[in-house]
Amino acid sequence: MTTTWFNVRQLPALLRGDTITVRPWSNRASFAQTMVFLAVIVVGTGAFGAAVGFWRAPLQSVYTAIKLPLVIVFTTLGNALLNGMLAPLLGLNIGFRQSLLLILMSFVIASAILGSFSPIVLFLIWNLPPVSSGANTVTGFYGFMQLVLAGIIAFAGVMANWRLFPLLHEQAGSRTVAKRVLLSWLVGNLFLGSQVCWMLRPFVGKPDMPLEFLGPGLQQGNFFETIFDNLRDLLVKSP
Amino acid sequence: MNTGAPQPSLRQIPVLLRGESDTIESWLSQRGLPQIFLFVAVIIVGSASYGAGMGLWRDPVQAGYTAMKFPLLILLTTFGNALLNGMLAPLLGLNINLRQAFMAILMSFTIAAAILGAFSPLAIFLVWNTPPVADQATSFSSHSLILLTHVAAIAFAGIAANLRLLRLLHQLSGSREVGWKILLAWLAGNLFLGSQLSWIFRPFIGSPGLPLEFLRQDAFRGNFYETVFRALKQLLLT
Repeated sequence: MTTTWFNVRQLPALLRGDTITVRPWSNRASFAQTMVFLAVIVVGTGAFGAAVGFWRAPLQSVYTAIKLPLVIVFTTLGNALLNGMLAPLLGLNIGFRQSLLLILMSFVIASAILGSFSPIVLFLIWNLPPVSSGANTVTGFYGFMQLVLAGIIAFAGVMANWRLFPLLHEQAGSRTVAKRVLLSWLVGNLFLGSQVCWMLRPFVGKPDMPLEFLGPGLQQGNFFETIFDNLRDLLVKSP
Repeated sequence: MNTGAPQPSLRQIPVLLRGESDTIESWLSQRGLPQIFLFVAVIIVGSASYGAGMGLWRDPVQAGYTAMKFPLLILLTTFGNALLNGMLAPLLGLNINLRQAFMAILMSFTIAAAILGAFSPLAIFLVWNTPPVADQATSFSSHSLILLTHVAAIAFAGIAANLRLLRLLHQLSGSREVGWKILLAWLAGNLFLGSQLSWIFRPFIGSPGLPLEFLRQDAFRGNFYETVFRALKQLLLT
C-alpha cells in the first residue's frame, strides 16, 4: 500500500527504508503529517523512557517518559535552521521543510525501534535487584543498565541514519553529497543533542541521588566542558 | 529554475548556498534595486541574529549593540570596497563591470550571513550553557570559549562563501588562474577594510572586565594594524 501520506500502518515501509514509498512523505509537507511523525516520536521514546526510569522509581519513569521525547523534539527543532542551510550548502537540492521532514523521519525510525525495545528493558529491570537492595550491588547494576541502554540507543541511532542515507542519496543523486549532508547533520545533532541530554539529566536516575525531574545539569557546567576537563585530567594531570 | 529574470525571493538563497553558477551568473546581469535589497535584507537578518547571539553572553544590551554592529560591518566593507573591487576585476582579467563585481561580492556576503543566521540558535544555546559573566571565577575562560567558537563559526561561513564565489569567478572568467587572482585581491581588500572596521566597532562579545558600551571610548585611537605590529615587535624583540 503506497500513499502520499504517512500513517502509522506505513511505519514498516519507513523501517525498511523503502525509498519509493517514503519519498512522497518528505516532498509533501503538511501539519497533519508532521503531527503523526511527532506522535510516533512521543509514543516510542516515551515508552522507552518510561521503561528506563522504572528501575529507579515509578515517578522517575514518568519523568523520563516526558524528557526523552523532549530531547528529540528540542534537537530537531533547535537544529532545523542549521540543517536546512547545510543541505543546499553541501549540494543537496532540498528545501528547509524537506530537510526538517527527513530528519523527523529518521527520528521516527529511531523512536519506533526504541519503543519496541521498551518491553525488553522493562523485563531487564524486573530481573535486576531493586534500588533498595543495597549500595554495593546497586552501583554495579546501575553501570550495567547504562551500558545496555547506550547499546540500544546506539543501535536505534545507527539504523535510523542507515535508513536516512538512501533517501538522501536518491535526492542528491550522488553518494558523496549524501554522505556529506548526513555527516554534517549528525555532527550538528550530536552537538546539540548531547548538551540537551546533559541538561535534562537524570534519565536512569542514580541510586544515591534524590529523585528529581531535572538534576544539576541545568545549572552546572556543560557536556563539552566535562569531556574537556576529563581529557585534560587524563592527559595532563595523570602521572 | 527559470534563469530569465526571476523576481527576487528567498528561494534564491538555497541556489546561492548550492553555488549554482549558471543561475547565479544570470542574476549578476539583472538591473534594479529589488535584488540588491533582498541580499542586503538577508545580510541584515542573518548577521544581526548571529550578532545578537554573540553579545547575549555579556548582556542583553550588548546583544542589541552587536546585532546592529555586525550587519553594519559587512555592509560598510562591501560598499566601502565596491569601487576598488570593481576596478580590480577588469585589471586582473575578468570582463565584468562595477555593478556585477559589487553583486558578486554582495552575494558571497549573503551566503556568509545566511550560514551565520542558521548558526544563531546554536550560538544562543551555547551562551545559555556557558557560566554567566557574573561568575568571576570562570568568566575569562568562558569568554575565551565563546570567542573561539565564534571564530570557528565565522571562519566556516567565510570559507564556504568564498568557495562559492570562487566557483562563480571561474565560470565568469573561464580560467582558474584569473578566478583565484581576483578572489585573493578581493579578499585582501575586504580583510584590510573589514579588520579595521571590526577594530572600530569593538566590542562584539564584550570582555567581562570592561564596561558595557556601544563603541569603546578609544575606538578611534590607534588601529588594528598598529596593534598587530606592536604585538609582533614585542614578541620578536623582547
